[in-house]
Amino acid sequence: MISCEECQKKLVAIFDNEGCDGDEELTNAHLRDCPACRAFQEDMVKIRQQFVSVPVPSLSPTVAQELIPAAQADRQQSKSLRRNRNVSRQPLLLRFPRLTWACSLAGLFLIVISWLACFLLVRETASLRQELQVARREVAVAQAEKQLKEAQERQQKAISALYFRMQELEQRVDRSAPQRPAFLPAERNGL
Amino acid sequence: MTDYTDEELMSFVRNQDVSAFEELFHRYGQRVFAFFYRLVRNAEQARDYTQETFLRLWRGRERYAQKGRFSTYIFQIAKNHFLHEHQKRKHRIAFEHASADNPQGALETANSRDNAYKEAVANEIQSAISKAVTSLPEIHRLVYVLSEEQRLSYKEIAEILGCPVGTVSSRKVEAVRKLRKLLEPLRDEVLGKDPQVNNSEVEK
Repeated sequence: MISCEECQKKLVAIFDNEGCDGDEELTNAHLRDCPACRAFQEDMVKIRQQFVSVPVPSLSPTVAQELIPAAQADRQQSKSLRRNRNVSRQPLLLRFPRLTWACSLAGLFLIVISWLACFLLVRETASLRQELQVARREVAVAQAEKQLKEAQERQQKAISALYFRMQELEQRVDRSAPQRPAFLPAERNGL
Repeated sequence: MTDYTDEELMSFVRNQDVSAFEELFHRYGQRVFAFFYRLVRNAEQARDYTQETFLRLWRGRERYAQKGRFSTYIFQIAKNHFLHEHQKRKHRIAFEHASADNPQGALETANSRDNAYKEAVANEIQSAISKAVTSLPEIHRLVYVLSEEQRLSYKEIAEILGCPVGTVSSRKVEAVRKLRKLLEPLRDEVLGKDPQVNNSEVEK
């Protein structure tokens, strides 16, 4: 035996052609002993009959008259929107032909400017390189002169040192040697 | 255009074919209008909702993916629009709140707001039924209208509402129970007398 809750659920399903096999037997068995569910069933059927019999007015033809032009207008609008979207998807140069010329001129101008700059830079580099060579040569000459001067100074010092040493030696020789008559030139030469 | 299926027509609509859209409107316009009319019980409002639903269908044509039936798709749009509008109206009308929380109270509020209601009970039983249906909370109302008015299966309703089939079934039962409760005061007029069952038994 099913409960009233289940029976009412099954009743609604059966009347909506959604019932399962065996539902009818179960509900019939329940309905025999349950006046409340019988009342539910009767009310449900009556409400359904009354509800379906309520006349529905027919839809005014003006709805179609308003709707179709609105759809057409929307189509036109979407078409123009799509066209605009397609145009905006095109490359910038195709959308503005004059821009091509302007871009070409600007490019040419840039090429000329850069060529001039390169030319000037090369010339400047060559002159700087020449100056550098001259400067290097001058530096080399100055270094050679300086070395020569230093060598001369060293030579001078050595000569003067040698001179003083000779004098010193001569003085020593003079003091230690016995008083002898002056040598003859032949003795002095060891002869 | 009349030979094509709904799904084929929708694929034409995706390619901006207005005549296919027109054909779909001819096929579904009245159904969608009836759906809204049952939900809101106001022809002018239902007309506006229908128009807006088809406009949404047109504007969202590129999002359409042919997965299920077209009828499910259009009712999904209709349902979304209804819930959106309902949400907006909720802020303005306290009546809607009351109906969601207390259906009996909603009917009473409706009675007090609309003095013609008692006359409607006496003279127009159908109007009372419609009022009761519009007093249902929207989740139950949608299920009830899609099931009873549009005769859609629970599976299709589940697809439209984005919920399991079991939920649809329980919402439907709940909707019937709420309707019974709402129409209880008008039981004799609307549902007819049932001498064998007294009210306490029914409430059980």
